[in-house]
Amino acid sequence: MSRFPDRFPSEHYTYENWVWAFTMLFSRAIRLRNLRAGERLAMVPYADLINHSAFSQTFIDARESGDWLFKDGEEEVILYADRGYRQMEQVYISYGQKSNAELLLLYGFALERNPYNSVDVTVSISPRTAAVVAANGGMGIEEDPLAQEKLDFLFSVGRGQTVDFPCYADRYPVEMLEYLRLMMMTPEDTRGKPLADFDYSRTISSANEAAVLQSVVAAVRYQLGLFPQTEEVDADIIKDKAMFRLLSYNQRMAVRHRRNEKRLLKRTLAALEKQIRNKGLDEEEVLSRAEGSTLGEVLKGETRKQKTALEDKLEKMGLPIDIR
Amino acid sequence: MKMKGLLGPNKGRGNPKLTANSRLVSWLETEGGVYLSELSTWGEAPHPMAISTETVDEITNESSGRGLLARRSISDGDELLKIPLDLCITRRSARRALGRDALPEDINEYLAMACQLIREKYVLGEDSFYAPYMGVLPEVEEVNPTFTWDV
Repeated sequence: MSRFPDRFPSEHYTYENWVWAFTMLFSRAIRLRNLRAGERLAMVPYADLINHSAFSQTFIDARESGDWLFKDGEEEVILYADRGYRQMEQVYISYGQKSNAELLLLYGFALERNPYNSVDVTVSISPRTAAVVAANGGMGIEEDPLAQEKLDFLFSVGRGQTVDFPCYADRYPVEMLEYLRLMMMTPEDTRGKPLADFDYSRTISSANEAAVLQSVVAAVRYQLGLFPQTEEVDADIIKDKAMFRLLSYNQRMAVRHRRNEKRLLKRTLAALEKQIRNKGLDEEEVLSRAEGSTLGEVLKGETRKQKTALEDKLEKMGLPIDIR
Repeated sequence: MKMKGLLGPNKGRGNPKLTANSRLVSWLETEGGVYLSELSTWGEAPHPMAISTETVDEITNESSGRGLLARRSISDGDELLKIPLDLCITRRSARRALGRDALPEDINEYLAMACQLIREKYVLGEDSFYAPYMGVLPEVEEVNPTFTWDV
């Protein structure tokens, strides 16, 4: 860009203007499919005035214009209604399946009832290698004979020790269970077979499964504990309509958002505990082993470097750029 | 739902938001041949929507800025709008605007389009072909995404 100063005048290509441009793109650009040239990202005038609803199925796409007799080689963007609208009713479009955190990040709003809402639960496991045991000397941590093999296996499938999984109101990802089943393997489970020989999409053993579910419970509890106020406090703030109105727009959105995250985590917790009971994994005998194999595994106080939300977003889009 | 902001003959003179709306509509009609009239004509059904400058979200009751309203009842599957790709901002339009030498073919789409947006709104301003479109794009404060919130 610096090669063409006349086309990129620095008084206009400023940080504030880049922020404006990316705000427009993140909140309004649409990915068009079915183009002759394949997929393309586009900002479509007029169409982008339509507001978002998570419940809308309206889709937007491109096609060659003209009917089948009169193709003129030009392409156009076309939008069909996904349901009926009464006169004067607002027309909505779906911006895609987005969680509230993403909606708030990109479009500045959070939805009270959003079927696509999810909360990232961080699962971080430190395999108890000889080195880890030594570092925590005398803390009662036993060395895991499979630790090094687990690390190697994770490395070979391209996973790290810390993984974020999205939890939805009604489900959590199988990948999380598969990951934890692997991490909770003991010599009793492997009986000398290599770790790569097991199918982690199924229950390995009841002791292994108990350890897995217990560690998810611990991780979700930990995540909940990171919030300074409880969900009940948030609910009271929202319920007091007169007070709630006095808050700024940003504050209202933030309270709604954090309350929904907590609600979602609590629901996950209840579902997990029910599952543990139903499978009889809370029996003394199973638990003792579970206790043994979860020792010190959910790392407290994850201290990963926090990126700003915009940096994170740009990086995920393959744009590790410094717009300052 | 309030009916503020509907375009009609001579309505909205003097209100900058309504002027911007009608500028966008005439730009779409003249440059893109988009049919946005509420009247039907030979081979064209009346356009089913109208721009509203103020809308309110049904669930949260928060203001949701500009939006489109159904001007008449709309059935499932009806065509809502048709916009020529030539009026859209894409990587291709960005490369055309800023030069293929400055923006390589494999440049990230977001980056290319951001370059063009800044050019149309700030460098060219009123001289831009896209000025009527830029005129209805909100400011950062109106969108208010969290990545711009101060902490």
